[in-house]
Amino acid sequence: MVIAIGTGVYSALSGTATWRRVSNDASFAATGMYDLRVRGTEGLYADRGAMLTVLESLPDPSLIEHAEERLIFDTQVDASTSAKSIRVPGRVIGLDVSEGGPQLTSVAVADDQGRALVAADDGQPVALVERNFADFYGLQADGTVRLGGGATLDLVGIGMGPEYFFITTEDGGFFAQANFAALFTSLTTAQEIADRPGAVNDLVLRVRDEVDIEALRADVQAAFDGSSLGLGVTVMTASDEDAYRVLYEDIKNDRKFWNVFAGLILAGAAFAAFNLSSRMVDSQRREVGIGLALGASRVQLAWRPLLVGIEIGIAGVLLGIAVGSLAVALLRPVYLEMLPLPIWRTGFQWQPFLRGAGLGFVIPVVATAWPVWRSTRMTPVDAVATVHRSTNTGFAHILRVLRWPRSAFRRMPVGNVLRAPRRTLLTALGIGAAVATLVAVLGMLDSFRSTMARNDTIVLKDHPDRVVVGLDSITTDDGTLVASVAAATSVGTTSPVLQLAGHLTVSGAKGFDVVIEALDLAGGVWTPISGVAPTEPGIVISAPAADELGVDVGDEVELTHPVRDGIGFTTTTSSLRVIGIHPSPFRFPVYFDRSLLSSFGATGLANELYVVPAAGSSTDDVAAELFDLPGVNSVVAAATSSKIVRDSVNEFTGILRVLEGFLLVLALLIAYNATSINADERRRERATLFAFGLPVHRVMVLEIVECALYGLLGTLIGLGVGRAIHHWVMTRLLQSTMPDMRLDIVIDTGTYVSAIVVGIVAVAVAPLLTLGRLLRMDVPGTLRVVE
Amino acid sequence: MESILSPDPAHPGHRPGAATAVKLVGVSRFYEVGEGRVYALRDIDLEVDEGEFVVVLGPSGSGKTTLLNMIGALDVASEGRIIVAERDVTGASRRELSRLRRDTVAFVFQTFNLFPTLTAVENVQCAVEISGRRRGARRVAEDALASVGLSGRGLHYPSELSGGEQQRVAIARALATGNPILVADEPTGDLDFRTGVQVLEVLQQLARAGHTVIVVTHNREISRVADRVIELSSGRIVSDGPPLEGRADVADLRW
Ligand SMILES: Nc1ncnc2c1ncn2[C@@H]1O[C@H](COP(=O)(O)OP(=O)(O)OP(=O)(O)O)[C@@H](O)[C@H]1O
Ligand SMILES: [Mg+2]
Repeated sequence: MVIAIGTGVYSALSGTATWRRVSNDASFAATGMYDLRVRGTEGLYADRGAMLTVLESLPDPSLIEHAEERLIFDTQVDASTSAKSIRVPGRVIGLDVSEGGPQLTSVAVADDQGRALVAADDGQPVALVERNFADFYGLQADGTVRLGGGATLDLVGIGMGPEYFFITTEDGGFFAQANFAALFTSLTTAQEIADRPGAVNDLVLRVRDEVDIEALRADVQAAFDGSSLGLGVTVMTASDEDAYRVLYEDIKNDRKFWNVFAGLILAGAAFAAFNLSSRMVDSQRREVGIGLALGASRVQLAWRPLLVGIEIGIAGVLLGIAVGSLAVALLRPVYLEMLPLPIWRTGFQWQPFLRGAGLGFVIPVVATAWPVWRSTRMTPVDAVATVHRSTNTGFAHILRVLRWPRSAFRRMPVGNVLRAPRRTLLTALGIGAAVATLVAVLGMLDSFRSTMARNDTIVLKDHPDRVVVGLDSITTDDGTLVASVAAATSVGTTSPVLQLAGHLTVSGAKGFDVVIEALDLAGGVWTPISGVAPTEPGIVISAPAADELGVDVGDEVELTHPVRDGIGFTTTTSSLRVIGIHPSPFRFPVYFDRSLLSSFGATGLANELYVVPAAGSSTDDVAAELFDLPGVNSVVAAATSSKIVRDSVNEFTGILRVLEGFLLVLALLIAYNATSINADERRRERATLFAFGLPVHRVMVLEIVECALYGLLGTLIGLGVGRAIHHWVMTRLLQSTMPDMRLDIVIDTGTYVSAIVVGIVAVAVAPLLTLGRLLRMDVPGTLRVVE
Repeated sequence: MESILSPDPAHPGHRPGAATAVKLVGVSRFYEVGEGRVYALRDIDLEVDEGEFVVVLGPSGSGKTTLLNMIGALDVASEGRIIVAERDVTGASRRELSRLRRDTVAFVFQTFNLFPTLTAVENVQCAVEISGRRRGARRVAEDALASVGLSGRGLHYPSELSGGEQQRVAIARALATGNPILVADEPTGDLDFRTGVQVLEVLQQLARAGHTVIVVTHNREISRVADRVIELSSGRIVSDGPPLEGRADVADLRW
């Protein structure tokens, strides 16, 4: 059973990477992910059919299997329900629904989430809302949405489009689903909303299997550049699409991460299995010795215990299939929720299972073979000896000087623990393995929780009702737009922010991408830290960033950032001093005071406003009032961003929860097995105690105390090892799999309590499960046995 | 009840006025093995007075250990009734049996059964504590060890003692409980002459002090120190009376 849990969970967990890959493949294929996309410059349009015509000028048009034109434009979306107001930037994707299309970007709709678009919808004011967005706000498959220009669309379903399986922002920020509403509608409808009848600006292609995609991309690019269309197109492959790239790349990191845990559980189970079966064989040592004394050959003696080992292995592996299937069933919903793909292939993965099963089979066989080999090596005399003489007195000397407990009766469990250090250690290590895995996994959950809570306090500090108002474009902070926002009745105070993308490094280091915010460090609505002298020119970076670059306050860092150049921006690298380190768990936020904007050539510019609602007004009021203000792109409560972060780690916590359950069972099983072997080994002493008239309950107490001592020892070992693993996972593993985030290295009291409950309490009560055996014990028979 | 408990004046070794310590009436103990029954004891009638020193003699497999287990309330009879220290063992609950063993019977096992993780003195002390005397248990234990000639070995573990020494620890453990009935299974089996004699003397003294001592052996010579010898064969009592070769003092024994 221990092996079963080990191999089962291992295979399920390491199979998830395959799930994801297979599911990605299937989902992208089913929804018609493009091979090539021709994307027109924003604001430029072509007549319908014109883009298709350009394709005919390709050297070999037959390489293209299918092509479809689309009309895509960004707009404001008001998807407010009666419960809450939701006003976010969004995008309308007009698809060719004629002739059963679209074949590419054929948006998938789950059975209970409305219907897909049909040919009859062409020109009708109906749309599908994108699933990530709908999920985030809990939208239903009906209702209406209002668009920026005043148009209204009836929702007929919640859809999943291949480019929107995973929502990123323009500058690559993840978890943008809260702030981005994609609406799929018919091409004609989109044209009507945009007030551009017959216009298209986007073309997606499916090519023949054998095509060299890069070469074709170049050809297509050349064809469009050489055409008279004047669209200024970019030709993309699927891997240029963030959603596509991220979904596949994420699998790699994910696999690395979960393999560690899968390995950990397998190792814990393997160790315990090894421990248990080797002890089982150990207790048959005497029989082997007697056999040797009788002149039996080694092979003759060895095959029987080996057979037992093989049986255990086979049973474990078979049960492992059951456990694995259970784990799969439990993990499946976690993945489904985390990544809403239209198709999830979560079959039982045989390959990792076979790997795990191979180990699961080998372990008990080796575990039995080793002691068997050892005992067949012994001289028969040693094997038969009742007590290992003199060579193994354990900590006898400690016991001899140990004054406590004075009562010999009470000393018995202490003696049992100390006098047989090998057995004690094996038992304790078995328990320790379970506790260590438990601590490592629960510690992860604690770390996530703690980090999220810390992030919340940072984001929501000073003004929990803070609203972030995104502007359409960069404007001046004394301009009319900022003034009209500030003048809104629901708006209290505002402070202007300029948000830019950048890259932070120190000389020689690789560095990483950051999001730069120029804000009022001294008196703004929200500041990352207090107590920074803003007059001092310099930037505030986050603790993980400082850590990674090895810099402290006062050190110089290099920030690559945009600088105003006429009406556009160019990129330059400045050497800046770190004037503060803020406690965000994320690596990317960089802040500096707006007074420094002059050196960016961007004095007084802003593209974002932090707003505190006026007294008596709510976040929703602000959103409602500002939505119709031209130039306002999005209105999002700061609290929403903490929900996004929280949602994003749900994947991990969900899976860890599943593991937690299995681990608890595993730990209890190991504890019970260790105890019951122990009880077996102590059978004779128990019978002797009975003979002296000790009632059953007092014998039980003795055993419980003894087990509690093993448990204590095992728990201490487990806590130590578990903390080490946790620390390693936090510092090493996560740094490579989630570089943008630094989790707190904390283990909650609750985790320690669970470890102690499993390690000590559960182990200590395990003897109660042997009560039946104790009551049925044949006392005279046990006493009679001549060992 | 009355009739069973009333002493039977006819039995060998009976001293007028002594109370009955152990009484077995029609006791059989059999094991169901396969189709048939194996009788370890068959239809035993036996009465032992307080303060008697009884030796049970018989070849291997004759049922000696089984008989002791019956008397010590470790095993229950398949048929018949057993009364120990005026308590009816037949049909007694687990608790009552436990209490009986704790308060009235002390065992010395054929296979020692010392607690391997306790020192000699702790082994003895432990039994004293189980019998309910927590205070001064250590003293009692040390005295008991001294009385079997092991005062210097108290801090040794069983694995550090010879078989004979282990057996003496087991005897010290039994007598330290102070229980009135002592049953010893082959206590001298592993001992050399000199220590064997020591052990027998201790047992004899115990009997003189009023303990009921029942010793199993297959050594006829040892049986000469007893007041009374019961011979078993194939689970039946074949003879019951004073030693056939005549009573001898411990000092006169040869083996
Ligand atoms: N659990 C059992 N199942 C079957 N038969 C048993 C069992 N226990 C004892 N016997 C049988 O009962 C008989 C008496 O056993 P017992 O141990 O009382 O003999 P013993 O006189 O003490 O022998 P020894 O001198 O060798 O110790 C033996 O024939 C033995 O085989
Ligand atoms: Mg016997």
